[in-house]
Amino acid sequence: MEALDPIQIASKDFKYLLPVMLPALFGLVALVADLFSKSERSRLPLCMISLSGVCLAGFSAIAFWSGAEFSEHLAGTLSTSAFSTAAAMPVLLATFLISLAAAHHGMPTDPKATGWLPHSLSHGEFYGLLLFATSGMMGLIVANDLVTFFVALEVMSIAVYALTGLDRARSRAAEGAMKYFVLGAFSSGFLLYGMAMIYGAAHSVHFSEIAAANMSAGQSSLALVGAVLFLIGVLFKVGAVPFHAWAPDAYEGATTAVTGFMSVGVKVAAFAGGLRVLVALGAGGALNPAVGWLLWLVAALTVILGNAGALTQRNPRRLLAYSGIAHTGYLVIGLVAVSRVFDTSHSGYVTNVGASAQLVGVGVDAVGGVLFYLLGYAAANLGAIAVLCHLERDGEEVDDISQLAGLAKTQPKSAFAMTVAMVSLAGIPCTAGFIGKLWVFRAGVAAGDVTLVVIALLMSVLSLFYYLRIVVVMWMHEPGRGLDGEEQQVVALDHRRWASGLAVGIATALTLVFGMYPTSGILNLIKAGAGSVF
Amino acid sequence: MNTSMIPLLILVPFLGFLLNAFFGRRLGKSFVTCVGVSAPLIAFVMGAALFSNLREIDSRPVVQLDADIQRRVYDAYSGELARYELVTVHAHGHASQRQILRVDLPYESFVQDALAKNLITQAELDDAEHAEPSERVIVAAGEVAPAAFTFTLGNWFSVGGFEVNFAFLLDRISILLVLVITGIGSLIHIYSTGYMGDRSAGTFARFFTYLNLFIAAMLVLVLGKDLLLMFVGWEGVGMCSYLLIGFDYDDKANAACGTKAFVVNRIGDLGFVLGMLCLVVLGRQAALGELGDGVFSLDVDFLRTLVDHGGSAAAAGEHGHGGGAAGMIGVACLLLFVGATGKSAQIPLHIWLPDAMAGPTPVSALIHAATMVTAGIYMITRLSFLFIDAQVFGIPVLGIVAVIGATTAFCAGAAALAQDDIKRVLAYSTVSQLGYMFLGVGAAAFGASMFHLVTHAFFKALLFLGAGSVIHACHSQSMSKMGGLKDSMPWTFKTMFVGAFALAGFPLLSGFFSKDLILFQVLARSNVEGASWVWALLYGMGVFTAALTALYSMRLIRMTFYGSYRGSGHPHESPWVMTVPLQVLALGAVLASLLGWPKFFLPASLASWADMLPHSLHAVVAAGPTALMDHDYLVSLEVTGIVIGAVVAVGFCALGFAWLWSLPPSEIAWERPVGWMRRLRDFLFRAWMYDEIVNKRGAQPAVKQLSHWLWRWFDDATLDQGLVDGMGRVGVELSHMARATQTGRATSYLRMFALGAVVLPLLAILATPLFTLLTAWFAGGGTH
Repeated sequence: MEALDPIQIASKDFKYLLPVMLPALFGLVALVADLFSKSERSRLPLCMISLSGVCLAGFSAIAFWSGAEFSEHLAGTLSTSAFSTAAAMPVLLATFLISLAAAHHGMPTDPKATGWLPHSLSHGEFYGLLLFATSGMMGLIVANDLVTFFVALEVMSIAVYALTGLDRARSRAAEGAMKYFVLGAFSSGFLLYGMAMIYGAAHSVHFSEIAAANMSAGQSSLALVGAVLFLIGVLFKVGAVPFHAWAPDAYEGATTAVTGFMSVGVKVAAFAGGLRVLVALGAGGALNPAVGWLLWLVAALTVILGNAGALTQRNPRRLLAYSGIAHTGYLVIGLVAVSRVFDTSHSGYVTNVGASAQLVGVGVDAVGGVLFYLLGYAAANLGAIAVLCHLERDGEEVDDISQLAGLAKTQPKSAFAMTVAMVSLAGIPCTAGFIGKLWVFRAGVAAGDVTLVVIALLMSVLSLFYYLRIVVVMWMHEPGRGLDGEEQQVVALDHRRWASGLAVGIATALTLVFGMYPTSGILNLIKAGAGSVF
Repeated sequence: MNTSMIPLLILVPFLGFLLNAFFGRRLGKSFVTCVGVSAPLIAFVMGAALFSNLREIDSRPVVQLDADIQRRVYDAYSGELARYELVTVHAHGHASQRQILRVDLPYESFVQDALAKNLITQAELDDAEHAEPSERVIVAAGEVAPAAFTFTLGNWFSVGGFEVNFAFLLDRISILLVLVITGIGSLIHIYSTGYMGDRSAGTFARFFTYLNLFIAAMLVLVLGKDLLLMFVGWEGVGMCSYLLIGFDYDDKANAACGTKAFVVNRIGDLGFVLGMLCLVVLGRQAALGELGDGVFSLDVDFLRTLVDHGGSAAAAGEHGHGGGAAGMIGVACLLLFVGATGKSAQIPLHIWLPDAMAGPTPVSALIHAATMVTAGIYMITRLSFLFIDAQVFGIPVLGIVAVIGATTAFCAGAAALAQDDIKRVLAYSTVSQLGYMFLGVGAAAFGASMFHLVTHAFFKALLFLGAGSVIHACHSQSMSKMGGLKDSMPWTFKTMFVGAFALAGFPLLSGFFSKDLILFQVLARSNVEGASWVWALLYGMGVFTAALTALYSMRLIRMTFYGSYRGSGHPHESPWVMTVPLQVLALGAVLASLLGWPKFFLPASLASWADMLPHSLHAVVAAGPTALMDHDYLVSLEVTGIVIGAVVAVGFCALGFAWLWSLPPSEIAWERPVGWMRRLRDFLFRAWMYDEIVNKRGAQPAVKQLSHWLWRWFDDATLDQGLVDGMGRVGVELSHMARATQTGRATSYLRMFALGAVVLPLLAILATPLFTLLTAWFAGGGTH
């Protein structure tokens, strides 16, 4: 390791930091603006602040990040490419849609009522925390050294812990937040320990230097243990089995909008950051075939347990929590494929052909698949969450899918949006979920993990049951009749909630557009992003 | 010529279908009439335009080069591209062998190349444009195929080298069918406006919706260049047939008849699909092997190269009959023929056609007599190059076709003699005539069969429409309730009279020439080496069936129009929209014979009219073994055949006259059955008890047993209870297990986390050798 040079930063390099800093800045603005908001009804400005922050971050990401190759900035702490932009899109989409969906949270149904319900999400702190978490996620995506990675991860995590427990009056929120926090702290320990070992093996925290280090010689076990511990930390964040236990409790405890935000944003950021570190470790020779198999086992366990767990859930948020675990499993297949690129002993289709260019091709395909999958998952999952937000009123939450019975009759638009979301999550053609699944599974098969893909396929058949059950309840049951024919309260729509309605519409449109006609702009971005990783 | 008119031809009736389907009921009968009738009419005009274009191109002069230039060409292409060949040439009704110089280049590029290389001068080219169209095969550039338009609308799908295009082919075979479908179709549409006139607007619209869709589907069938596209039309007409047989579905019996037709056709279609599958397999082998470009299809052109390749491969491999590619082609042809027996109602799948008469009579005329049921003959003619040498275990497939055809012709002809329902007489007659066509196809007389197809379309449509007119007047289909209609329905009588005599093969009417051309070809076939006694027997059956045909035709006329009226009410002549089509068709039934007068019948000045239709097809269908027979001998056989045919037809018409006219029907033993004749008639009335014995006692119980067994053990036990419920049960069990781990206690979550962090990496390390072992084992199992 060289002696530390004084850090030299060109001031023009700060523009690369804009997509990370803008959300945080607007978060502060939202906090301050909340202090000055006099009327109880003036929450929409906060939403607008949040939306502007997200949009500006998005534009600056597209403008400054979208290079074909990774370029390092700010003394090597950040590196950006089209990959960063592609990964930032679902994160910003999540913040955008959740800002909209939560805008009217706590607004009383009775038009004559003045004042908002207590503990509603539309306080400044909600938008502040949302934007701080977004900032952390963006940082995680562009982090180029382990230290930045960890800082960004914690910025994200702590904001999300707070968001989970934001609804202080509800004990389940507090319970979920507490569990999430304790387990998160535990996993951060693993992550840090892993980072330390990687540093020990590579003599650097910079990804590029880790990738350039020849860790397979001599120090291999140190690097390997470090890689495994690090991956465990990342797998915790994405909710992979057996590090998933926090997810159902935290998702159920959190308010619906927060559930949606963390199920998408955290997952996207952790996958994007994790992928970069995985590739760096692989290039540095830290990965041993066992890492591939570790991920293989995790993927298999996650798809099985996620889908099985979701099968008998009736609370929609808990159902989405388990479904989120299942989707993590499908995504880990992409990580398996990426890890196979660095595994010369693996006897997949590719190594039989023997051309390393093709190995890399599989990796690029896997990363592209993961990126598209995340985007499609974000659109569909946020669509479902937005529908739930749209339906909830007076602080009551939809706690049983029976409450959606007959929704097609009472609120056909919401029912349609929910149907599209479910169909996409189930991976049925004409939706983004199908293309994402196809892409990732194809990479899995190309990497030679046919058995894993078959398991995932069987499990996604199983998933049809719980996704389509919601569709059946909405379209085929009479309003007010639950799954077992019991009386149910009919969810009624408050017509003033245009903001959440807009969120529903955007999410549904994106799900369908990505599924039927993925525009070349998005596809090119994702392909360029995937290509820049290797 | 703009070939894009070809898909337009299909689009017009399809548009009619859409308009009638979506707006017909609302806009009323006059709208439906307008759209429904103009759609096939416009298509007919377009077809006629395309036809005249084809003719115009065909009659362009083509150069014939003299021996001097031929030698130059031969030397220039140094024997690789150019070679001398013996070919069979059909000219003016006789076949001869000539030596030609064939150059393996498209004609146009050959001319360009030859001009560029100074093999030929422009002046010589211009001078040489004197060859007669019928001799145009002997030109220096090799055989110039008759004009054909192809049009590819685009790619349908391509999977792993298998390409299917929306490609259409309009050549001499398909234009013939196009003209028949749209021409006779238009007449039947016009007739239907009268026949269905008393129905409600909704029903009326539905009828024309189906009818227009049928025309569109039939045109797809005929014009499809790809076998799969043809199959689309094949299924389309099947669906329309089903919808129209059960058109009056309020009556359960009609719906049942529709279902029967549908189910029986499915059996045949399975054969068609399997046949296509064989060709796909064969095409793939060839494309990966000798043809080499990896792309294969069911396109007619590709199949042709496939046959050439298969033939050469069989010759090279000396597998003999039934080996390799040639054997596969034989199996494919046999399976395709199974499809043809379904659609064209041949034994053993003929049982649906008599029941198809449940549909309205114009439907019977259009679909179940003139067009759809001939699809099988059309398909075999289209694929004649495939069928011509196809053999299964040494038996030529065409031989099987001929035997089935002759047997069907005979059995159905006998059954027609015993029917009481006027439409069933015609239905069995149709089956019988289709049998003739298959007999002709089997004898490789594709031209003769197509000729009979055309003439049959005229007189059978005429007879059906006439029967419809009679039914319309009498409100009954039973001939025992008719009689004496000759005075009350003069036009129906006159036209049907002509139709019946044409059907009977009365000399100089259309049925006479076409049927006797087929029989003559069978007779000629029996003079060729190999299984000649079979062909002689088939000829005998054909002649005997001709006698039966004359008898039942006379019986139909006698029972319907002569004697005294036995039904109720006062029958009146039908309106002009119904009688005018009858008159046009009657004219057609007479004049269609002009398409194929034999040469010796005509003065020398009209020689170019001789055998016009059959001979125009000779260049596009495969030639059978009779093509190389001595011309004079063939003529003598033809004269013999014609004389025999004429004698039989006239004799049995006269016999029928004498027998049936002598007494009122109630006093004729055949009609008032007693004694042994009653049994015979009952036996024939039930069409040889085939439905009762083979179908109801044999096939149906067997199928029921099989399907019950499959349901019990495969569907119910394996799929439902095993796979579907089983997977559900496993899922629910897993779910309970998953929920059990979710205790809600943070400490247990931490324990799970820690345990996972230790156990999973350990497992992963163990996994590498384990999976490597397994993979090696699987790979070993896969390769050894």
